[in-house]
Amino acid sequence: MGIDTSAASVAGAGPSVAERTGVEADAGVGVPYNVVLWNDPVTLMEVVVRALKKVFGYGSEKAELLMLTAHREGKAVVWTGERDRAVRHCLELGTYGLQSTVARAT
Amino acid sequence: MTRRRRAGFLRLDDGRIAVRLPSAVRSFVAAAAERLREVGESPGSPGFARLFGRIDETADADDPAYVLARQLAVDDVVAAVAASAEKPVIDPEEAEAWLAVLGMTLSRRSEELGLRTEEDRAGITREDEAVIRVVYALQAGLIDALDEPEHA
Repeated sequence: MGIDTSAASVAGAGPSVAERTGVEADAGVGVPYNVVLWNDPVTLMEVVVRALKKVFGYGSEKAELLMLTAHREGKAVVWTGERDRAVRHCLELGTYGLQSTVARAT
Repeated sequence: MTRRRRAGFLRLDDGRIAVRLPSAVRSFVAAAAERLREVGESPGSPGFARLFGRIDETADADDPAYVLARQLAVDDVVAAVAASAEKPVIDPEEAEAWLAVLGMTLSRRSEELGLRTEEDRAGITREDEAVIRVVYALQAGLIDALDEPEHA
């Protein structure tokens, strides 16, 4: 499982959302950004774990650990890297109904 | 985040997923997709704020390209669910779209209900809680079918 789980591939048709919007071509190279996953009161744990596995290619153990971190602490840094990819990952997590944001890594 | 389980989906030998749901539940899924489309056209609504909220905490506003990308993402899954809601068998991509619509539906509804903590759920109506439980059952069934292949 890789990160090629754009919203378009979820729906299974046509060019990707990134291709249609140019999201992947955005700047921000060199400065690391975190993808922050926020806890919410309704999302199933299984959905969170599945999303983390699909979007980031994580194994079950890591996905479950990150999910539990967000659940217990209110949020969890689930990925760090280039800003454009971080934003794309947020979009992907959003298609599962998950709340996530990007923030400059400190 | 919460744990729950099961509902009517079965992975077939060819990889597709048989949908064994009453017509009322199929209608519920189709209506959920339609409601998401409506929310996408209602920028002032709480659901819109949740689904299309700011991604970059360090910026004054998100790049319009990101906003557009989110809109297209919602449009894509809504279209996929509308096209497959009555099918007896769906392919994995359509199942992923169902999962997406159900997830965004929960997210939208929780914002409309003002849920901020799990304790807040104690204050919602029995009807709203029933809807959440239906969504949970469908999500769990879809995940089981997608992740743990079964055979007819």
